[in-house]
Amino acid sequence: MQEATRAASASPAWVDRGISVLNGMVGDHLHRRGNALAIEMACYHVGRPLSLTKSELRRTQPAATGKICVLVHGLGCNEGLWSFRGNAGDATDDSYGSLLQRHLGYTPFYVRYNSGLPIAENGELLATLLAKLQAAYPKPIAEIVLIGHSMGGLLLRNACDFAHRRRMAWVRRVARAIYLGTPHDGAVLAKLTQVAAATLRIVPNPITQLIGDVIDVRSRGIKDLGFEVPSSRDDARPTSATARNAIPWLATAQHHMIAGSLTRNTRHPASVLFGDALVSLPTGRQRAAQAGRGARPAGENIKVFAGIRHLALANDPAVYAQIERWCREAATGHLT
Amino acid sequence: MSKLTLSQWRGVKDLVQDAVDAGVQATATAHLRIAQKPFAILSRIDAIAAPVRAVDGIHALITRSVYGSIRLINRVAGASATEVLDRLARKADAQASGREIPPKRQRRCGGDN
Repeated sequence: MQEATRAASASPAWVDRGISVLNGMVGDHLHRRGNALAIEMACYHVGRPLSLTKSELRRTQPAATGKICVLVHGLGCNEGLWSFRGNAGDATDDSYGSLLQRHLGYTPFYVRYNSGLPIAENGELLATLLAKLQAAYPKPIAEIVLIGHSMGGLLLRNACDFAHRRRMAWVRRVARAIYLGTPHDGAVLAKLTQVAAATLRIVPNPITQLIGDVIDVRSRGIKDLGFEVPSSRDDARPTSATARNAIPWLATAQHHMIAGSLTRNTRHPASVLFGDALVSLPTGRQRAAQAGRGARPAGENIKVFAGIRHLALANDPAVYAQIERWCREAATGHLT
Repeated sequence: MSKLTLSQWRGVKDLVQDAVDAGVQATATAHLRIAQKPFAILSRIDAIAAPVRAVDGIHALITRSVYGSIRLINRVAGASATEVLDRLARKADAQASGREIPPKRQRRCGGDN
């Protein structure tokens, strides 16, 4: 993940980034065709998938503690997203995970996955991956902090719901989930694209229908972003977001939301309309509501960082400072 | 070749082949839909309906044949690329096996001069 410490046998970072972008765009097709470019979900360490065995985890995480943090990137990205950018724009060795390890003793795990697959499917894969991680971890895990950027946050919600329904042990250890720029109500751009594609297909003209078909080539992951958090319990995609069962918030965890905006003034029309460029700002009502455990983030569990755009939410020092403040809070009421 | 593994190159090849195939199919569909319009209008004229339908049929046959040929060429090109990648894989395997020289042969080579 960090450029300076990538394994010698790992692909160059630009190759991995390109493959991640490709997976975001057509990853469901790649998976369906058994294409070697399809990413298999795994925890990654210095650019290579981590084998979830006790010996490998001991080797790669010699300072493992009973607290772990799991970081999940968003659409078309990989774990390289979490690297802080130095002054020259180069990746540095720091990230939210490494800083949480240094300051609060959390052992970080970075997930890479095929972001073109349906979000619900990825959520189930993530739940299974975390179960394997817990089984192989060299120490009993006392606390888990989940951090998801953009689509990654939706994966976390799906994973927690799936794990809760399957009574997986790891989900009881989740103390808090932090969502960075996550479109819990569906992303505006994805919704507009859906409308555009549907409209073009309705128009009785072969050219516009062709353009509509081309737009529709986008992956299931991208299409899912247009809806509220999709549930694997839905057999067919609903016709509107309101018709879909929303994933319940994990009742035993504290949920936090961080949002960004295009401009330093969050009341500027650009920020009001486009939020951080891809995800809208939380509403005034959400920000004013009473914060509560096991519920949608509200009140003090929502922080807006004006002037920080969507991708920058994953590697900003000010955002990290807030994450660290939340993680320092005593996990009162957390079931053990 | 070192930037991507051989399996990733195969993935790129497969994706390009799929993209070309899907693109040709979509273009063929649009082409036939567009061509249908004038034929549909002309075939309403009783005096020329029969020859129009015949020409329509011939046009559709030729169009499908041309696009079908392009898709066939695409498949052949894909198969050729697969053969090249397979040969590269065999060569890489042979080289990797060649590096594992038994200890006696290694000492003989090292002691020749």
